[in-house]
Amino acid sequence: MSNQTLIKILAASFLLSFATSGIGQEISIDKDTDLLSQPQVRIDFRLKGDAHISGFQLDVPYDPATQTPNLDNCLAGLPKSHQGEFAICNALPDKGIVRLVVMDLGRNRALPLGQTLGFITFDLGKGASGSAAPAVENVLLAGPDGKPSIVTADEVFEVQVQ
Amino acid sequence: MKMFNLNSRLARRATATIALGLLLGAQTAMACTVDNWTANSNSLTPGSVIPGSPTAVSRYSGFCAMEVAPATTAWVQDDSPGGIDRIRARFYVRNGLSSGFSVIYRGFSTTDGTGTLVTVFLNAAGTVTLVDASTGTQVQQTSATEWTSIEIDWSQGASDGFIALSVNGQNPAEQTGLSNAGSGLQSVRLGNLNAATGVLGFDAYESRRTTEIGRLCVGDADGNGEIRFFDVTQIFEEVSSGGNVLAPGQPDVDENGEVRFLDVAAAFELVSTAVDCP
Repeated sequence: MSNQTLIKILAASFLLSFATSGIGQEISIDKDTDLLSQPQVRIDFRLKGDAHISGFQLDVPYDPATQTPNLDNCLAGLPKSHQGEFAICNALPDKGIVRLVVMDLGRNRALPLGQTLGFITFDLGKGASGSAAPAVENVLLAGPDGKPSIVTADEVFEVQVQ
Repeated sequence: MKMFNLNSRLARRATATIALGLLLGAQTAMACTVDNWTANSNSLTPGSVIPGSPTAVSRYSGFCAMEVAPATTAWVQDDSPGGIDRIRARFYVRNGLSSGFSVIYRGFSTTDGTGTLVTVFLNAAGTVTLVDASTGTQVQQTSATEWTSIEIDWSQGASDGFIALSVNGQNPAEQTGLSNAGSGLQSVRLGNLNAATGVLGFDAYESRRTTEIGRLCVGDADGNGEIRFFDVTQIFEEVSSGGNVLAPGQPDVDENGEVRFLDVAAAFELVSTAVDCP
């Protein structure tokens, strides 16, 4: 079997798998798919519960050698109150993190609960595996006065990896 | 750390450190003094930036600092060295010199201001020069900011004395192999020791016998040792309150002598690029 034929078969297999997996399902990363297209992992950010969270800071560690972050929608779900100069989603390959910072300086209005505030996708290159799916670290939450919230990240911050 | 902050004197001479601590109190009731120094020239201005405090001066860290009026000889003196042959000292100076140079720090073999062993000069262009008096050996570095951190290391020896200078955290400029043995260091003075023209501010003096001190973490406005988005909020609070709510750490991110909205933006930049404290 030629390499070209192999690639065609693998491509069909991958596309079928993707079509049936649906949004919200974990994508299985097969090493062979590296030949075809970039497999992805998606991380959604949202708040749950009923706390007044006015802002947050967090890091998403990744391996710059095997993962490429797409930040186009990182802040896409933010309300207008939190859009602007003090909302940023920054890929820092030298530190191996994506840093998100969202603030509502001076007003500290509450972020919406239960809706996706944004998401990051990572294109996984050669050498990546399913276990390389990014996590979220160093989550800091600001309360109604802009100072550290009394609630913990575990209580209110929800991260979904797809 | 010997500060220009409060009446309280917390002298801790553990190991080789001559650190005088800072006790933070309620901002509104705080008076800034230089009482925790051994002596002073009585012509300097300790003061905070808090409205209602005796005098408002620019500070680098915390709530207080010291300022010296133009063309005035004014200093504080520390007799803690007490005859040592090596000292490391770090302080911040706000350079408001309009011309010429000032002697801003000097170490003596006595406690009466005689017997100079080591001197730090600052000129109006921001050049800092550390001079070993006995050999005339000197090293230099330059600062481009108004608030400048200066860390010196001076040591005596028969042929192994040395001097080192680091300005704003640069790699130290050093001279080694000095033959500068002699009487030990008894005291130091900090201030405008030669009535140079221009206003000079001082803050965050700390001295030790041997270990490196390092810079304070600029942008760590809440003083917790990290740069986080809460520091941005802290600086914004100081700016938006017109200075009524002061940041207890280092809010003057651009080190220009004022805490303004540009410092808010600069702090946000530090956070968003994950800059760590040194």
